[in-house]
Amino acid sequence: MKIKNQKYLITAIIMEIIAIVCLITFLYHQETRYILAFLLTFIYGVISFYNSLNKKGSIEIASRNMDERDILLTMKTDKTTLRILNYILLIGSLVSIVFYSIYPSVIYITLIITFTAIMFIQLAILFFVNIYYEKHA
Amino acid sequence: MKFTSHLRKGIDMKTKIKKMRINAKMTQKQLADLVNVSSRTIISIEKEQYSPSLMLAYRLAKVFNTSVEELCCLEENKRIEDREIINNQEGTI
Repeated sequence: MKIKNQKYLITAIIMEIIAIVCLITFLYHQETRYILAFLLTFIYGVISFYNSLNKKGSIEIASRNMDERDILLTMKTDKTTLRILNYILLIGSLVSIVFYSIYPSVIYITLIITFTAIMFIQLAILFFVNIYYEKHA
Repeated sequence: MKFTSHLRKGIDMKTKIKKMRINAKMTQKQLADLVNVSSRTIISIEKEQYSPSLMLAYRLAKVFNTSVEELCCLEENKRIEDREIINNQEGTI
């Protein structure tokens, strides 16, 4: 038995840990949602483990056939995607603020906090990744 | 930042690849296979939409039996970039 794809193996391990947590929670609380979560994560974990033994990931296969321009295009695509995502988050948070001022509901506060938290985390990741590449690239 | 002036405007290096390929009676696919890239990459370089890496430029120069300097018109590209830098500096003053 040889592991051909480590990413699938890591996913399988994480899924099985979540499945065990769900099962333990089900034994304590006896709620249907926990057994459903257990079944889903357990099946997903088994499939991931099977994939880790049998095939390489699609990204790994694709990266072997990539030339330098494809790598540049992937980088540009990632950058544009991140920028669009940032705009969506910013617009989402601004719209939520406007809606909260018109209809004061707790749902808008939740949305504002979620959007700004994601933006803040993104900014922090960007900062640390930039420092990493400044030192290592 | 000054050396990315071509990239900032979305214009990449001028090269003689198309001319040399036609002279050598090669197709884009044949050239791409010789230097281990996709034909789309060769098309982009010929359209001046993409600047090849140093190694790819060297491989291409080897195929056409010329120098990288000659193939990529480095002197001409340097002159264009120098002019852009001077223009930018004059614009900021």
